[in-house]
Amino acid sequence: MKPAGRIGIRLLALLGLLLTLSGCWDQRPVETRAAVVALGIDPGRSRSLFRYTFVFPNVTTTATSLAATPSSQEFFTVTVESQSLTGALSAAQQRQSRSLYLGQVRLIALSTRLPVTVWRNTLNSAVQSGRFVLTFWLVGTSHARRLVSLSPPSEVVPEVAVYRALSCHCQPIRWTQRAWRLWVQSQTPGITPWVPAVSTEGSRFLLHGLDVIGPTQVESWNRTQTGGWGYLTGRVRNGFLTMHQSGGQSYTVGQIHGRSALRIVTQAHGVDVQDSLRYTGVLEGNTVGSGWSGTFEHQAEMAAAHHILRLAVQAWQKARATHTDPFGWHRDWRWQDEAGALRHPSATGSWQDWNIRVAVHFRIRNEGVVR
Amino acid sequence: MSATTANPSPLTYVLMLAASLLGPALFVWPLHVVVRAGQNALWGVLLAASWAILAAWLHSPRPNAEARADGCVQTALDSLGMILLLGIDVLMLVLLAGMLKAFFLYETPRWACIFPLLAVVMWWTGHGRSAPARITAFWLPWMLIVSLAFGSLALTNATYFRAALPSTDCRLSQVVAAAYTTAYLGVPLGLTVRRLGGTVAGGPGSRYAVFGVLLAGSILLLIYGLNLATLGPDALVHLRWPSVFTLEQVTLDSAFFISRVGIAVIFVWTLGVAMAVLMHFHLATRLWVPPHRSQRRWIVTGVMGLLVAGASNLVLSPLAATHLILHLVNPLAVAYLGIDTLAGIGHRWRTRKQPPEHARPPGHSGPGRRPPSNRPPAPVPDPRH
Repeated sequence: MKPAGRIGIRLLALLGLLLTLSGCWDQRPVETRAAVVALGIDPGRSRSLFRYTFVFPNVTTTATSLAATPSSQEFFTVTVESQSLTGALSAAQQRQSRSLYLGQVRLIALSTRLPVTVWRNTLNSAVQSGRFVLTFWLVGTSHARRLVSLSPPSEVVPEVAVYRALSCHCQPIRWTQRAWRLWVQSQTPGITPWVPAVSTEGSRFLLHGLDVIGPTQVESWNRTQTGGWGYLTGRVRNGFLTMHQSGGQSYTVGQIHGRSALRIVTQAHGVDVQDSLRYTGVLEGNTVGSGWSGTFEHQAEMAAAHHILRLAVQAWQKARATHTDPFGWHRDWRWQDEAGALRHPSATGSWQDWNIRVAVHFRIRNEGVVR
Repeated sequence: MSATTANPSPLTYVLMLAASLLGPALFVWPLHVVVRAGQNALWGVLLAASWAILAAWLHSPRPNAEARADGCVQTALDSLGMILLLGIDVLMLVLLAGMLKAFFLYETPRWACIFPLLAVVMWWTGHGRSAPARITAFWLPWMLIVSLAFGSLALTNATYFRAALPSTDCRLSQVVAAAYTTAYLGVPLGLTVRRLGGTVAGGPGSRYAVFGVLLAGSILLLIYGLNLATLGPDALVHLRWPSVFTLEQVTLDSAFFISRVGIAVIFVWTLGVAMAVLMHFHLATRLWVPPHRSQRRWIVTGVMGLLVAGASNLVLSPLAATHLILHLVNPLAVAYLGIDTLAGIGHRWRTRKQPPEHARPPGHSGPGRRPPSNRPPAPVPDPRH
């Protein structure tokens, strides 16, 4: 064959490959899609019916019209009642002129009044449908519709404020619990899955604690218990403690971060847990001329360590009272010492025969600067 | 074409061997070993890896016994292995198309994923004896770099490092079962080492074969560790494609525009499978096409491509492909590997008994029975002359 003919054949082959490999025949342009950014689930009119609130960004908002659009019009919601997530998706599609797209879901909020089965089924169907990208956050709240439809003035379409707050690496507690990790926890024996709890105050939100998805109901942990849980699991990234001296004076230790090292040993009488917490913080406030000295620093370290210990005890007492284990200690125990776990079986959340020793080392790494 | 007789350099040979071994493992790994052995799968993986290193050493052609590799029995055995390997390729292509369909090309029919890929592979194979070597030497390093880069990004999600290590409750039956599920990965090893090892520029070296196995093995171990540390052994077994799941969760919230790495991972894996199929087709042409009948290469490649493409459309679903790998291919692979290893030991034994003068091919001026590590730096015999 002549070289020119060969080149022609090659070009044709390349062209054919370009056309077949591009995958363009099943593309759907963005204008034909309705991207859900948030989803809220509340109890419905009857026990088996639930109210799903889908939040869509307003696609008529363009870069140029953004400044003129009031923040109340940047998103719109579609509310449907259904027995399951799959049914709700279908019902929402019937109310939409565009194809429902779930790859951009940033937040799913569930009401804490919902039964545990709804939490589990929602998570499982989101994972199994394959239509969700599992990097969204699943949070608990008292009123899901109010949370997903609030748009603080600081955010513009299509950002979801709670998503940004949880992903920003700026919260006092490292949450890290995106939906995929929650699903991994729900499939792993030995840990009770938990989600961040968010409440609403007017047009603002507040990350205030922990919702633990227990075997029978969703348990809300208060701020103190959540703090203790954060210290015990080494999740505190930017914490602070306020302590009162005997003379009525108070001082604050801030910028606390650290880690926890867990050692679990199976003994003849039960399970021994040794959680060694190492945290450091900065003494805030004026330390000049107030008679504070090296011994005071030592006292402050001791006081902070005691404070952390008290928080930890409260967290553990809550776990024991509700038969849950959001620390994942039963899981870690099984992974560290499976032979021991087989000898002394202990169900998740059962704290009988568990001896827990927590050692807190606190170090003041710096003193605050007053200008 | 002048390049047809060029021999791969040792580094290219290492890469080719790694490509041949890695392709069938990249994206179905490590689900089934963990299903069999849970946290203790690591022992099974290490057991299989140590067997592979021994086999790489065993099957490497001796420096002076190159001509004996083409014995009649050996060719028949290699042909059997080759057919099994093409069967594995069919199943891997079905699985790849299933994975692409599940994550990326939702509405694309299977044939549209497989045919273009096979067409490219056939084109590369038919092109000449040295084309696969050049293509592997160019693309495989890219593949490894991209995989390592994404692996290190995914490390931020890996928190259960204890779960990646074996547990204190270790049962031998589990470990053996885990090693057994990796048997199909070993099928290309002997074939590749025997057919390519003798052509390496600078003389065959069993250590290059071992390097190739170590390269592929360490990539597989890294993927194993990453998956276990991210998902733990309990959640991992509930997934169809754990490696895809692990890498899919990498979020680059801070990166400008590029927020997800999924498409690059899919690209790299498609490339990995294409490289493996290319290596296997190349081996088949080395096995079934005599060097002086190079025009037949196109015929053999075409027939193989059509058979593989046709067979891949006969397999019902990715689920059926997984079932076939575990329950049909794996027993066959174990039988084949057993016979192959015995033949290899027999061959080693015979060449060891042979006095060096008889084993040396006429005109070969190299020293007699030297271990490959003492390779002479003096003029390397160039087969082009």
